[in-house]
Amino acid sequence: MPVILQASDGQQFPIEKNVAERSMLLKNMLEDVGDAGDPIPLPNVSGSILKNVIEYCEHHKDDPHFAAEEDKEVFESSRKKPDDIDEWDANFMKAGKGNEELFEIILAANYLDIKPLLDLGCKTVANMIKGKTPEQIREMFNIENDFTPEEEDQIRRENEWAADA
Amino acid sequence: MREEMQNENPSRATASLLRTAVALLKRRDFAAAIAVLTRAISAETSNIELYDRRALARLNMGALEEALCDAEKMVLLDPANPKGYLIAGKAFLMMGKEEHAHRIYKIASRKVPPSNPRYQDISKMYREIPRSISNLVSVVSPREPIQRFREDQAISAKRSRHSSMDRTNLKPPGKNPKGTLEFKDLPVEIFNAVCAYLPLRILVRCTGVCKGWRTGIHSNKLLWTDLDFNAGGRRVTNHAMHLLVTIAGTLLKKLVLRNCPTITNFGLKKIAKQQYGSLLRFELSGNSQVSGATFATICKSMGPSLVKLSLTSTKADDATVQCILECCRSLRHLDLAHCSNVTDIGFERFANSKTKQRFSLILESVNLTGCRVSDRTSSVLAASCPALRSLQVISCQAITKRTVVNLSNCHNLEHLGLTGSDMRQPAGITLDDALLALSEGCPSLSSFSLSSCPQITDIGISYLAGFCAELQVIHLTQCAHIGDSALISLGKACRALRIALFGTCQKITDEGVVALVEGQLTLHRLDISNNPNVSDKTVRVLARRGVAMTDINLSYCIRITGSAVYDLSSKEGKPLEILKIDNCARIHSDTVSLLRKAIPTARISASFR
Repeated sequence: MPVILQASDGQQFPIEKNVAERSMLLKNMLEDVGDAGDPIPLPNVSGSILKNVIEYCEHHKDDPHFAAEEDKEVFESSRKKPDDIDEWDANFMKAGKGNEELFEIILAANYLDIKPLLDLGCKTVANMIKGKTPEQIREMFNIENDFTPEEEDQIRRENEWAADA
Repeated sequence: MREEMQNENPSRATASLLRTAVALLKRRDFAAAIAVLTRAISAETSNIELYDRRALARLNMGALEEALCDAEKMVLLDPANPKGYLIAGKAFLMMGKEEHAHRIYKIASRKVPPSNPRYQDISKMYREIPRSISNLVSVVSPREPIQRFREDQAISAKRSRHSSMDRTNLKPPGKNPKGTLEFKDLPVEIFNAVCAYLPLRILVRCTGVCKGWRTGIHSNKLLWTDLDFNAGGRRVTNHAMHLLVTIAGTLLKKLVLRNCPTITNFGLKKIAKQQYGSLLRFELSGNSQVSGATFATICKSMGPSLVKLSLTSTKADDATVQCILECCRSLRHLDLAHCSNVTDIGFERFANSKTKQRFSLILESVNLTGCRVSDRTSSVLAASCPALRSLQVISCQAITKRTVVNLSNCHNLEHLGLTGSDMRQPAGITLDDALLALSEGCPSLSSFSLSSCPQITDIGISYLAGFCAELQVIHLTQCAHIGDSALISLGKACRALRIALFGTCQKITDEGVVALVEGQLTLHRLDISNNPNVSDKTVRVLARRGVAMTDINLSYCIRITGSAVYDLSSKEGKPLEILKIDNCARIHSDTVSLLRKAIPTARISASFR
């Protein structure tokens, strides 16, 4: 029996239970109340983004559940490596997605608690930041430079060692 | 004597250390308690009580990351024991990471049996924390029953689309006037998660993007615990170092300043004013400004928790060495390569001091390459470092056969580098006898280097081969008396050999090389360059039998011909990666071009002089 997800714009998506269960939010919910067959409203997620998220979950539906790793993973807090993205995931993130869509997916993954997708999104953003100057980062993310010229000069001197040689 | 007693009865020794630690904890001398417990743990690695007390001491010192490591270990040792979860929860709460704490308590409530007396504590914490975070619709999913789920949804639907936790550092939530979603609209947790994927240099660059990013990045201490100024080199100034070390504070885990010549006494003394209870690794190299005395000061403030210390190519001296040995009681790896001010004196002063009687060193690897040390140092190390696994004394001309004999007491020794020592001295013993003692005493030896040593013979090598079956790396370039029988004994007895370097060992012939290569399934690097005897026979055996071989050096082997070398392009097993055939007079340049075409992925060096 499929689970029906309803996006903020009313679009409905019938999906298999094990696809829905990639989301810990939905998994816990289905465990707690069982499946009544009613559509589950997701007011935080638009139809187009939900479609993307479901595509990701479909592809990863047979991955081992990371719940077993949960215990280990919460201890992790030091720096992680952003470059271990598998090919399908990299293409999924690339396929015609602009910044806004990427951020929407991250927020949806966050809300639905799909840890691997959230990680993938964060890694993708981290990789976008790498190799860029502060000026280029501002441009990419449409961020205003709110430093005074003096502050900027001081920061540049402080960070000189980290600039490209 | 003390050590022997401990070996007989580890649990009794542990109990006494634990009592000492508890007394120290009561006196709130946390640093000392940590040192005692660290020692006890190194002897008995699976005692939860020890980790529990150490974690407690670390929590008290604000070494939260370290406390977490202990907690993790405790949970791994016994997932049903509540202590680890309680420590971890506390640590996360102290870090201000309620959502992590909440998850920990949730896991704990599943894993700890309700019959455990402390189960109540856990369920109490679990009940209390979600209340405080459910007010903020957070990244952590509300894993509460369905009613809560629906309520949350109703609330969040009324709120702006993207609500988040503490946003003091970033701009307010919601779409901007244009109606598009931008980076600044992401909640701070996601910003932090992105930053966790950035290497230090990139992170530092990001602090120059805007004020929000600057405060956001600077206020997250966990991003700054691993300070590796990699590639900063001479541009890393005292100021830059001080700035980042201050942000990390007591959470600093790793400080690596490789080839940083501009760091001075002033800079290091400034950061040495603070205590660093979690610092595991300190590295400063290629620096001639910092004095030995300053290093000694640094070791006092950073020392107790250090596991790895590297001061290569610096002015570290005898005072530094003495301080390291006395203060750094958790130290396992010490690298002082190319510190020409280091002599025997520091090691001997330590050996004669009272500290030595209280603490045995747990050093596992020591690199003194290019230091002015002699057999007296190796004798101190052999006597006081029972766990020594690796010693490098390359280019130490005062090291003699006595060191070889001294080290036969280090039964855990795996790596030994003796190239450039003086094996003529003392006259009383032969090198073969010294190697016999070493081989018998150190059966785990896996890498051995003693190049340019005319004293070493086939007999000495046959002892090594006979006793050290795990030998993986042997480096004997330019040893005039090494011949075929050394290679035959290695081929027969050492089945794990990976690297064999016998360049300019001109007594070796086809017979030895063939015996070494045949039946070796792991050998991947072989150097028999500058050899007048080796012929095509060797090359053909390499092509047929050297299944793991990827790196071959045949330069200056004048008898080898092109047709045999070409066979290497279709060699059995792994394809070649590196081939050196410089100045092989009988290999024509056409053959080299053909070879390059046949194995385009290999790096082939074939120059002619």
